[in-house]
Amino acid sequence: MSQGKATVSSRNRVTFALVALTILDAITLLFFLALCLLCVLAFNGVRRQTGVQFSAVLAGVLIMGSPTVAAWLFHLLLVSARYADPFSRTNVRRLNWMGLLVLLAWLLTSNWWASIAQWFGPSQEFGFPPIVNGNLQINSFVLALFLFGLAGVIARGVQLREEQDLTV
Amino acid sequence: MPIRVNLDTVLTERGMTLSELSNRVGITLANLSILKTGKARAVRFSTLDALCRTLDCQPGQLLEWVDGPPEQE
Repeated sequence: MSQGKATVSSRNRVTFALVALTILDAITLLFFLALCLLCVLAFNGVRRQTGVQFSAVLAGVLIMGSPTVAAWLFHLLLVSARYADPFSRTNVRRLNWMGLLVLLAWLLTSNWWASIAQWFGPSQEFGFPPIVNGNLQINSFVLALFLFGLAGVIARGVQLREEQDLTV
Repeated sequence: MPIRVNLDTVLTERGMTLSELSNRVGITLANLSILKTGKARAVRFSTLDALCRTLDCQPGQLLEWVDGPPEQE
């Protein structure tokens, strides 16, 4: 009986997370579409102006787009946890893609190249590694590593379960 | 896969159907089907014991090794 209640509570939590994430997805998607529109507008004006503006908007679309797609994949992950089997090869692929997208966002947003350039730059006599300076944004990077690790663990779990299912 | 399961041959020799064997051994038809089609990755000793007991045969009559590429992990 108590186990049944716990299952219902767990399902409610997943449903709540799903609803919250759907709202978040919608908002992020709107931002993303607005940025795409800006990108198109900037592309129209690229003949008259420099391509810098276009590049900036394109980078913005990528920065905004990769977390949007990652959030959508997370949404699908939660849907599968609620309605289907969460431990599947599809979810392993989703987690790997989420890791890649988070890594892409990290590459686009962090100033690691500037930090490294500063570190090795000829103007500086003494330099510290960027990570010591605190310039390197490692949060997203760690999240990407975590996602890759999680995908690896789930992949192993899926493999073990398949073997278990095929043991007669 | 180098290990071949000759369950269908033994069943034919005994004049028994897969569902009949399933009822007598207590293994689901789905699991027996996995075993018969060669999709099984492992066989428990208890399963082998039950099959040999019911079919009155040796494990060597049910399983056979044939030369071939090893199974991919």
